[in-house]
Amino acid sequence: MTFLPMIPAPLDPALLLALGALATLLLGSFTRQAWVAFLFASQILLAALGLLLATPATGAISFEGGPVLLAFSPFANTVAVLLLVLALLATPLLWAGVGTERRRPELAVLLLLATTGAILLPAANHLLSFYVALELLSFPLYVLCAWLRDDAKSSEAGLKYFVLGSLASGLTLFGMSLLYAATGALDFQTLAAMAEPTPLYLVGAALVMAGVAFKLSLVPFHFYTPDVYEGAPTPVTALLAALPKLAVAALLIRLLVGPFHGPTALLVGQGLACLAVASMAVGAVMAIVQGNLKRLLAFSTIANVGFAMVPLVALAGLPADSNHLALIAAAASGALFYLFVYGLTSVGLFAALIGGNFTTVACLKGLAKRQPLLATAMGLLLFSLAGIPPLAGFMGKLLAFTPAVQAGWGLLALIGVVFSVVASAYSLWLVKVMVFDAPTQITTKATPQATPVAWPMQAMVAACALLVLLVGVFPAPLQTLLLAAGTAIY
Amino acid sequence: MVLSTLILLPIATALLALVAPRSLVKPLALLGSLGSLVLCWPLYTGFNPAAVGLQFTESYAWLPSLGIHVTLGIDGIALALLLLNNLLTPLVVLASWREDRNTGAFMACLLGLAGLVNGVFAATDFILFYVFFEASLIPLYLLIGLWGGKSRVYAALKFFLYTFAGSVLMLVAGLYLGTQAGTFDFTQWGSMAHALPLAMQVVLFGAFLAAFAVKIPMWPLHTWLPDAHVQAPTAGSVILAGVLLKLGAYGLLRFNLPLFPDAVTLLAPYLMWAGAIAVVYAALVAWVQTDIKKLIAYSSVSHMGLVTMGLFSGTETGLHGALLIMINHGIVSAGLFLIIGVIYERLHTREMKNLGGLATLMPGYAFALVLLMLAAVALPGTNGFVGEFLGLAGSFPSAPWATALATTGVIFGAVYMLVFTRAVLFQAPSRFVADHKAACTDLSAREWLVFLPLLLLIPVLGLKPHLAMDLWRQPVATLIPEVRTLEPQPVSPTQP
Repeated sequence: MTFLPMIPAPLDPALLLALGALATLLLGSFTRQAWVAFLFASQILLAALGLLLATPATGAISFEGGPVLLAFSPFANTVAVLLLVLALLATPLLWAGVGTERRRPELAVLLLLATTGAILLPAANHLLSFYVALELLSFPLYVLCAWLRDDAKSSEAGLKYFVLGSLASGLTLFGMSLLYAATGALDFQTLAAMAEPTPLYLVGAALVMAGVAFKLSLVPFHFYTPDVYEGAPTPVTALLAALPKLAVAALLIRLLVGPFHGPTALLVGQGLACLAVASMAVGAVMAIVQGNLKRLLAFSTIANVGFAMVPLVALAGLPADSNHLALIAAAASGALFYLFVYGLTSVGLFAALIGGNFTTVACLKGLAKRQPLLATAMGLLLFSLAGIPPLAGFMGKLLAFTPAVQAGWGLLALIGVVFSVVASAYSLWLVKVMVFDAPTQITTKATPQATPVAWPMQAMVAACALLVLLVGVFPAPLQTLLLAAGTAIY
Repeated sequence: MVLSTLILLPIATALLALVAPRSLVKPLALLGSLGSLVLCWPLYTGFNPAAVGLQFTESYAWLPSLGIHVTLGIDGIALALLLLNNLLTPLVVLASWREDRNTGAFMACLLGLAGLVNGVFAATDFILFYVFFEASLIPLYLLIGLWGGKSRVYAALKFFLYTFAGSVLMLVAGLYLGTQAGTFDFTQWGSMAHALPLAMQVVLFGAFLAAFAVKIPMWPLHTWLPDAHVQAPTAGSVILAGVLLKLGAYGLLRFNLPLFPDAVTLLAPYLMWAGAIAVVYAALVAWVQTDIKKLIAYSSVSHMGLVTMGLFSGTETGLHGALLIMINHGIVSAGLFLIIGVIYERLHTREMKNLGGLATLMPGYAFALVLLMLAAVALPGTNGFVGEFLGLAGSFPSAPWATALATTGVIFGAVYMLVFTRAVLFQAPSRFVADHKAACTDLSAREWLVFLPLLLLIPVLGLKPHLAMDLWRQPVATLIPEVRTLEPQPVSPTQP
């Protein structure tokens, strides 16, 4: 099915989202009713998801016979499905989490635009489309971070994310220009063919990787993360933890089996290994000492992205011959599985934060006595975060670390599990606060009185917890899907 | 199908207990736990002790692309431990009949734990084993943290992090072995693992040991146990001592001994010494305790030291002894923790100076306590004697001096158990007991029901130990050649 006759079919979902964003904008400016825009936007997201599932079109998009700009492989389409699921789950959060004052139709527009960028990113096959998709993903998020304009922290978060994000984009662009200078090419295939470990190419690759690492909040490019997570409106924080991480990781997979493969792979892999270990260490340790829940979850993101990089390090060093295709697929699918599960967990936890207006760890005291169902669901999500079987977080770690062990990165996997023990401490601590501590009635400025979580948000948390449990006990369907995607990355 | 039902039935009952109305929770939990006990009957009668290999096997696809399957199957060792677990669960449910704080969640934790532990003993796929092994931490974490004593939160966190840290090392080792072998069915790992170079075997042995040594717990990794025991509610302590400590020894039997014979030959002497030190050290520490629950907790460490010695003795006698001690300790220490629970329920104290003179106030209780005490000090005729004798006799040829040291620990064992008995039953009643005379009622019918099966098993297994030993004769015999054939080859540094 073609959406518009002159547009290639694989572009349909992205186009649907982009046009949907414009339509939402129009609809919003005429009705000025946020719920109309949100309803419409969620229908658009659903339609795009349905389109991708019903008629997944693959193919390469080029401009008048030039180099391939976008390669819609099964891999790109599968990642797009996951991203759309996460965006759909985040939509009600966005509705509930900004307060009636700032609940505007434009929120839905920005969500659709960010999702458009996110689903184009895994299809990028050219430095130009890579950059455009990355910025299309980032700019709506910058605006969303600053959405509560009367709140100093939100404005600061938006500004900080924008300034540092622009710096990272600048570095990426500069890196791209160096890659171009080294090879004279911009599309991934030619870059891959001409990759030589010359200083020019390596510096270019390092700068591009720095931009990617910034979006993934890998240490040492993570400094913005706690501040932005804390300042941004909570649903936007949920989006930040779910969408860009998965989309950029998918792009990274394509870079690692494409332009950064071959002679440069070893150096890129070692560099990524350093970032991964640093992220796991910093994220796991720093999360323990946080009193603010959103800062805690920010460090948790840093640690978890570090865990997800473990299979990608292994992926970087693998030769792309037929003997290793299965292992490459396993590594790529392991990272995607991990980040998708992490996205689900984050959305669930942030939904609870929004529903209860929880800001500090102390707000959770005695939650199990006040709202047992909610506390059970959050407990499942937190145990999953800690990697305790039979929850999805454990399966994610299993599927992420097994390819690393198979590829000979056993030591890195060992470091990973050691830090996952350290990281389990903060999850357990939160469970302890929720379940073991007595509820407190003291309301201070630091710990405002938490409100009871209403049923819609409770249902969101419970749905995410249920998904996490189901994926943990029956991982095969999702894993098979991702494994199939991993065999057709380009 | 029996094994998967045995795993799922308690877990399903646990989920039901969470949502069931308050008045139905306890009968439901009892029904569920009795149901799994009944399910053990076809296992026991249908089990063929002479057959080689696993029985009641089941297999389902789980993550086929990685070679991970849901495979279940048991041998005699697993069967004995399954029987123990499913016997203890209805008893602790019955013993916790008076637990009124959040009963639904409490019973759900108990039954969930029972189902997961059944899973550990029945799993023959490493990943499945790990899933059950780790998931069993969650209910016990909640049991200690929610229904425990004063410093329950600290104890729960310490328990969780200690055991979690140990077992993730095992996970990486298992991932390595699974990827090398191309399957995660650990019963098929043998030939591949035996061919590994010694250094690799030692590393992998160490990783598995890290998980199981914490769980057993082996000296010097035992410090979490007294904390967890003292803070846990009675039911938690009973399950912890009765079943969960056996998971460590079971893991050693399933992984360390059959897979890494060269590493076992190399490291067994050190581990036997560690076991001997545990026996004596824990016995001495138990002697000076004034909290009776802590005393019994340290006695667990002491007994498990003897299990360690038997396991690494490399003799069939030692292995039989170790297994018997595991079962006996499961019965006797469970009984002793229940004994302590009975006092605590009545007097809300566990301090020796607050007790005494209960023999005259509670004669039936005194009878149960003395019988359990005699089994704990291994009096001939009780089940404790057979296990300790075989364990020590089996260890002696391999490590005479360590065994000699451990034997002194057995004497100290008698000392602290007699100190315990005197303090509770026979010393002059403390002022505290005198003040609370009315509370000191003898065992109720329900409590007798809890104790009777345990008290009956003491003489039965003491006089007819072969009832249990016949179950595991076959798997023990297959474990030994792998250990013994390597003894004549000295490990030289030049060996790869």
